[in-house]
Amino acid sequence: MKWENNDANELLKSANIKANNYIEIKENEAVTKIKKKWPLVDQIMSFVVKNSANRKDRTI
Amino acid sequence: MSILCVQGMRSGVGVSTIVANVSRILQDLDQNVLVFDLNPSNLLRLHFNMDWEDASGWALNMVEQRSWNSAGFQCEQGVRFIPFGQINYQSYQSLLTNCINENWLIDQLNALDLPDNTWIILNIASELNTLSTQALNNSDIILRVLEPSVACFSQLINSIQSDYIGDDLSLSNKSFYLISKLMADSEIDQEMALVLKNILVDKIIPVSIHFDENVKEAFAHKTTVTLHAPDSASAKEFRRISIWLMSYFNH
Amino acid sequence: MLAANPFNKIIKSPVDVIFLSIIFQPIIVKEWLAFKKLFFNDRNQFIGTWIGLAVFISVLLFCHQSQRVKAFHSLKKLFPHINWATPTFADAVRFIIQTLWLATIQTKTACDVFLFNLNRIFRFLNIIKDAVLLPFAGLSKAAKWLLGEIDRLIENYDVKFEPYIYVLFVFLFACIAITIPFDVSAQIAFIFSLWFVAIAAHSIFGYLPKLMLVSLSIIVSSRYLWWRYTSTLNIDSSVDIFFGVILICAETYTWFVLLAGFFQIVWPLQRKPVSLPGDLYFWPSVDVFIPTYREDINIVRTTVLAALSIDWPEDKLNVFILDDGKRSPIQELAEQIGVGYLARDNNLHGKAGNINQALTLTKSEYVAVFDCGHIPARSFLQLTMGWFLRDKNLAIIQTPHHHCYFPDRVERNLGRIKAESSLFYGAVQDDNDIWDASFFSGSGIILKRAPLLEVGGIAPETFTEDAHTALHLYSKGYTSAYINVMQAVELVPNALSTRIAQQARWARGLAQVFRIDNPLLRAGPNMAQRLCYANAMLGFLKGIPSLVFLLAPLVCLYFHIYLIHAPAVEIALYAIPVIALSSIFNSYRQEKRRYSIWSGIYDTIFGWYIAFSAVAALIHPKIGFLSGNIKEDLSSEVEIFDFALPKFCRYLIGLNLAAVILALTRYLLGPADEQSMVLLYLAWVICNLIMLGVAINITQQPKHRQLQNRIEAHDEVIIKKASGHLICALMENYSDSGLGLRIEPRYVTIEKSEKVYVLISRDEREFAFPARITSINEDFVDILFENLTLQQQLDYIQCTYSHSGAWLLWQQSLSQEKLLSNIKTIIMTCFYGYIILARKLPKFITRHFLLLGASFAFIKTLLPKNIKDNSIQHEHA
Repeated sequence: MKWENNDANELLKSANIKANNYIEIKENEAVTKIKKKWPLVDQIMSFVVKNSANRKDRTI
Repeated sequence: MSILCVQGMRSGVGVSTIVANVSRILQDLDQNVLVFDLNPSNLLRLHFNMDWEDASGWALNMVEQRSWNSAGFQCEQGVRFIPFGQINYQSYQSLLTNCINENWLIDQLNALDLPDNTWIILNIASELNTLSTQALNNSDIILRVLEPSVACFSQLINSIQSDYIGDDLSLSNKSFYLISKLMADSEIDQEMALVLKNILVDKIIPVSIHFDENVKEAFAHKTTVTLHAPDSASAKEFRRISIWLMSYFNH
Repeated sequence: MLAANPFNKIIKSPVDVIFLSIIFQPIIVKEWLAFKKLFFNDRNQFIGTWIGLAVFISVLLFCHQSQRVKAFHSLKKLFPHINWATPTFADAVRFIIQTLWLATIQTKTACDVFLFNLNRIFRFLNIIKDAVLLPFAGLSKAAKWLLGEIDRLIENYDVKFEPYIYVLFVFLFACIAITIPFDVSAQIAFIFSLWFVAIAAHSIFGYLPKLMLVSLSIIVSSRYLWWRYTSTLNIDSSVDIFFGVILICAETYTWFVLLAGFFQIVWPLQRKPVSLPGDLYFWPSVDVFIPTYREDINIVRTTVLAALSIDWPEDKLNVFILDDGKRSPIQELAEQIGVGYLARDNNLHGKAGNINQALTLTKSEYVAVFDCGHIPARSFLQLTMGWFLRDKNLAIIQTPHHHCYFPDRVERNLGRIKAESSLFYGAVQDDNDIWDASFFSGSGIILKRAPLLEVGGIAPETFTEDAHTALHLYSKGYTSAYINVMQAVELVPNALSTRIAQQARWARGLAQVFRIDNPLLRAGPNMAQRLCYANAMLGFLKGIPSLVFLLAPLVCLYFHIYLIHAPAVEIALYAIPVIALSSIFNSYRQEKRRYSIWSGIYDTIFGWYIAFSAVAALIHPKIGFLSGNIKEDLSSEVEIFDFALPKFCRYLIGLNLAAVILALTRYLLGPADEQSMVLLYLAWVICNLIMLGVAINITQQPKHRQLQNRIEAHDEVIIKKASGHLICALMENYSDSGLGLRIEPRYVTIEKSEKVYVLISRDEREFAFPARITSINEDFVDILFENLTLQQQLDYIQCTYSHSGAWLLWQQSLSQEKLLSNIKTIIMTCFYGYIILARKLPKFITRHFLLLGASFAFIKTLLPKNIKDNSIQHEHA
């Protein structure tokens, strides 16, 4: 199912242009900024990062 | 028979609204829908224009030792639904411990002998008990609803890390997450939505439901938002979710 | 017996019954007879019957389907141009014509919707069509099979390719094919066999059939040229030979251009983006330069914000405004946004000097240059930079950009071309993009710093600093790359005259390069690069042969000269296949640049100006340098041009009209053996007149006062009212200050000057922008943003202008051009052009002409309308 707001990679794929690893840098930067802004979010997210390192089989 | 189970990450995230609207739209799309309210708050019926004073429902029937499935209703637009019924706390507890055994739900659903193309939509409480666990285990797809709030986020991570709903269900193939009550002009809501999407990646349904006055008004009118305000953003979002569900079951 | 004859019955029955029985099934005829009996008592009143018939058919159309609404909808679909509310007499005529059209041509749709009795006829027509097309289908099938076999052979056996032998073989074969003389009947046979092959090849998709068509085109035009050189020059008359040689030179030039195009197709440039390494650590840092001189501050802001929005690590992306205007508001803007601001004390060497100065003050490994109003997409760097990392010798990367346009007169009159119409302008611009000769736009370009400094920065001596710099880089052994992914948009709407003036400037600049630093002679560049430069230079000169073709028939008719010394039939037989095949060829060559015919027209009408400035600069490189600053110069040039161009066109139209009259008189009064020749010239003149009509239409554009242009879009957004209600809306256009939205007016209450939020989403994020409703026009709402913070402005730019897919989607939406529909558009454009011209004539002439135009327009409304098949099927589904 296709939604209106495709990301760049999808579009490129549909245009038959190979750019496999388009990196949404602005998005990643935004998440980093959010973490800095709210301490509670930062704590939870660092917990997620720590745990996902321990449990590699999980997607999170 | 496709069983869809909708559960809130916390109570008050708008599960019964979602169930009511989605079922109404599925019905409009010529699907065969049966809505089963398993939430003791018994709110779902009000979306389908049932009388507030009418206390009937399957749980009440069971408490009063009648056959539970005589509590079926059909609203004007054709959605068939089974309300929970108005019962007090003690009756609810004894119902859970005494009447409902391990395979109760699936046995009852099989006993109904519904046609194959029926959608069964289960509206369950956010806390876990024998009833909701059965619903989660037996459904084909689980929709877990969350607000883009830090509280919900914390709850989400907890539930994932501790296998809160058991059997790795929180990240299994059949569970999906849905953001609801997204306050459009609230900065933190938008930011939390981004964080949730970032964490859940493809487990999140690509439509979020905005916080929309139309939804509240529709409930006050005892109807669904697709009927009350067909042009509203939320009506469109519910429509998209329904279509997403249909396409999910088609492949 | 007569009574037994079934035809007798029909002949005896009244006209209306015959009419009905032709179209409808017998059951309906019976119904009609009953109806007539009931209402008219079988009195055969002629008018009454027909009115009754019309009523009957309408009732029938309404009632035969179970739902009335549906029937009415299908009625509207089948008769889209009829006003059902207040029908006039003309509507009745339209109804009859359309009915006949439906009954004969568009039978399938009509049969689907109504109980038409035409299935048999339809099937019969289909059989005939299939029979006619059978040889083509067979041929294309055979060709497909053959090509597939060849492909398999090559794959399986790893054939050793010995190019010289093949080339020799092909050359020998081509020589034979080109030089063998044919008599008229042989030439006819030749044309038909070519035509067969061409159609068969055209129907197969793929590279090889395309190549085949292109080769055919080359062979035919070579034959034509051979024939022209060997048997059509009249050596006896000195005047004839003088003009004849000019014409043949022009034809030779077009042949060379065709040949160059052939090589472009044989070695197409299909560079795909290369992925960057997954670890951001390895990504190089990039400086983005935005040179500005006089541009509006809003455009500067939009450009800068878009540059900041590029998806590239924040610490590796440095944006600089290079302000030659030394304006303090721009400096404040730069400080507010947090980008670098570089100004200098002198304005030496314009843009080139500006960039060179900035090169000394910055230090990133790569430099991207965007002119003001040139908005990069978010994905710009990620799609291009990969090549630099792969190929260490690469010094320049260029991408194409989308042209923003302002709806012009043509478009308003035709009201449909929409997005593609940017090519009205683009056609002039994009010719050189295909090969590596793409370094002419000078914007949307990435340069590697080290090689650039090695050749001493941007070369300031010419107008085309980019072409010249590239030449320096080539000489040092560096290369350039062109990545054909639409990754930027040019925001400032350019008038046609600006574009042409710009082209002329580039032509002049390239000519200067040839004079100062001849790419053909200097040491360094390789053969292909030299050829590219030559091709580009040649491309700028194509206005001259176009002018020759425009004037040639006039010379013939006025001075009674035979430029082509051959019978008219023979000329037609040789020339028509050349024209037909070369138009197919051009549409291939400009694959995604749809309007090859348009670009031809532009060459014809405006190319001379570009060509003359190029020639002037070739003669002396200093001609045309009016002042030191390039941008100032351009505006004065534009003014001259705006004035001169329509005038030039009008003179030419006058000359051509006189030539038409002359030709007609000569046809009627002149000697009989000249008649066919005169007809040929007449056809030529009429073609030229059509082109000039288009030119008049285009040159009469309104001036663009509005600086910020609204860009068309098609995105879903949400309006959040202050009350907390959310409404769906469709974003139809946007600018940096506001949006145009379409809403469903049935249930929505929205007031003028109401404060709202507009929610726009991009990828997975959603942003809310405070705004105010400025106007409501039925379902169309205009809104203006209010007090956006810097972050919101940045988010807004990311949601709209620099959305990575925006221009890519536009590029995708272009399909192979349709020659026939283009011709229709051209004729309409030309028609409106003459109407514009007629308005300027004395009143009494104007009146007649407008009357003629109006009657043509009226007749056009009577014509049957094509119905889209799918819409009706969709409704039934």
